[in-house]
Amino acid sequence: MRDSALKWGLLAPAILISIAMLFYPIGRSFWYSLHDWNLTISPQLGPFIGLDNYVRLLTDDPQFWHSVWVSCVFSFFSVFTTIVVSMLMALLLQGSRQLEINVRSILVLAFAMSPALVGISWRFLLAPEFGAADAVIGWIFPRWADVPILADTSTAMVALVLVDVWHWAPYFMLTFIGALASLPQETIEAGQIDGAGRFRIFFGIVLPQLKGVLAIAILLKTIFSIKMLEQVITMTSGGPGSETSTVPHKVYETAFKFYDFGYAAAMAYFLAAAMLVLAMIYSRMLFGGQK
Amino acid sequence: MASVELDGIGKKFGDVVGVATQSMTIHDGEFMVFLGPSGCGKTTTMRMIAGLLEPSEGRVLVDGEDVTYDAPKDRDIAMVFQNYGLYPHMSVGENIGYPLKVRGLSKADRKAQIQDVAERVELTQLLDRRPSALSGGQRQRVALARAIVRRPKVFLMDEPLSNLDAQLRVSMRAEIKHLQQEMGITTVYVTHDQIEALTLADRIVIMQKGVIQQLGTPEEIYNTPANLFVANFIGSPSMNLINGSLENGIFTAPGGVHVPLKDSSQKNRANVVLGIRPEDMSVCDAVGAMISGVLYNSEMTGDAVFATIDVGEARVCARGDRHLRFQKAQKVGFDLDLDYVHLFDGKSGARL
Repeated sequence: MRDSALKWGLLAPAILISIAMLFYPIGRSFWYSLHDWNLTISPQLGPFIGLDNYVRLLTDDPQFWHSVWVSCVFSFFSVFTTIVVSMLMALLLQGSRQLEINVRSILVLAFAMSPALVGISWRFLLAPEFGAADAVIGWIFPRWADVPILADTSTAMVALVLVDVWHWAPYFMLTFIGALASLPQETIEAGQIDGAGRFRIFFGIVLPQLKGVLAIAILLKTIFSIKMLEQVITMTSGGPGSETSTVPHKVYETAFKFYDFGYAAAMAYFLAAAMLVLAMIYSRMLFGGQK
Repeated sequence: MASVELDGIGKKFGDVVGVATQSMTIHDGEFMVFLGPSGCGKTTTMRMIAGLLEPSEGRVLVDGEDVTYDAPKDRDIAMVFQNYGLYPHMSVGENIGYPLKVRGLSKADRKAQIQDVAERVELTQLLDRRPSALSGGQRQRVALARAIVRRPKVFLMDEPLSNLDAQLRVSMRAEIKHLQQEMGITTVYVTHDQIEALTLADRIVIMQKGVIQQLGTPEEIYNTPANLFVANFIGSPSMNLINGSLENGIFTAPGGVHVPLKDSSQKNRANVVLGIRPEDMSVCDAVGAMISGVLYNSEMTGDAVFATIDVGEARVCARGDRHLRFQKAQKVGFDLDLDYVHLFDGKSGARL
């Protein structure tokens, strides 16, 4: 009996904090999502409307579904490009110890920056009037010299994706450098001796052995991409039009621009459901003991 | 089938000499063993033959053709690694067939050859398993099969048995020797185990600190060691070494050691090391023996008794009849078989 009291006593602080900071807000926001509550009308919680917000979301909101599409496009390209670029960087750096140490610390700076700062910095860099990156792009590709990159429908999404890659690639590069270093060197040497060329060794021997790490990296980056919000707010505000308005941005906009809290909460729950599935797959991969 | 020639080859790692400049020829079909303590440069030399390491100087020739700067894949060599180097994501069959697949053989051809090799190393039942499901000995067989499946010009083995338990090591040793003789493939084998070296090799290269100490047949290495290092390194228990002096064909050392040499033409020397293997001595009465002293320890190994005595500042061990028994602190004498007495220069360590 005393054992159990001690057990709960030790757990209590963590449980209390979790309840106060995590479960209460989550439960509360679910409660909001069942109400018609617009802050512009009343600071008091509006009338209870059951699942009406969810029905509206699923059946009668093309704008929301557009943001789902935008999120999918952004996630697909940012995940794919980040993984490929970070793998290439890892391959490039793992050969030389000296290079690895020096370049690594520089690249990790990008990752260490807060996402909002990354967004603001790039917004300045890409500004058509005075942006350094904008000038360089215009110089290399004269065709885009006069294009306002973050305000053009054809380039805003590309910019958003590339900045996200710029931000995240160093992190995954570190993961891959670690994974590459832990590969049994003998399998690679055996491949060389057995007659395989560089590409064959990479695709036939190295990559299959990295399958587990790769799967986790892709899943993690998918989660990060889906919930990415700061750069959208700071770089494009979802524009031009709603071309770059991802689901998190849509939630943010609905809640803090239109003050439609009940509806925003329902949206957030929709997003949370998707994330929950990914998170479950992730934890199963990490702790499920399967290869 | 091919010969391998190392022509003035050497390897430096920064300022550290990994392998000092050296030359040797490995004949067609020969089983050559590189033997030495860890860090002696034997693996480095092998990796230069494989092409996994570029030499700092010199040339590697396979069948007279210069391959020094060729990639490993262009040398037609096969290698068995210490930790097997199997591809964990492929089945045993796919592992064995990988060199063939890389060479673009059709699936049917591959299958036939895999089957053929698998029979040779008794793996036919395991072809669909993953390497992780195999025992150490089975993994080693897969590595062997993968090496022989394409009948390479040269076979390289880097301590292939060091991860196996003692019993398995003995049987795999026989298997390797049998395979090599049957296929007649030129083989270079790296080990730090002298028994492996002596049993497997046609010729042995003994290395230390990147320098070749002796190159010869197992008999030559064992019976006429070129210097003190080889004398001390080969043999278990190792050769007795006694510091003394040589005068008028008689070797004397502190403690009353008195050995009249067979070869009386040796010059007089003040600093000489006499070497004698434990099995080249017989235990006798202390009075009148060439070497005598107080018993330090005696060990019964089943087939023999090893007696160790203190002589001056040296400790000398002799192999005696298994029925011999000694008393504590007993005076014991050894007589030497003068045909197997080795003399080394006390300073340079070179054989006299």
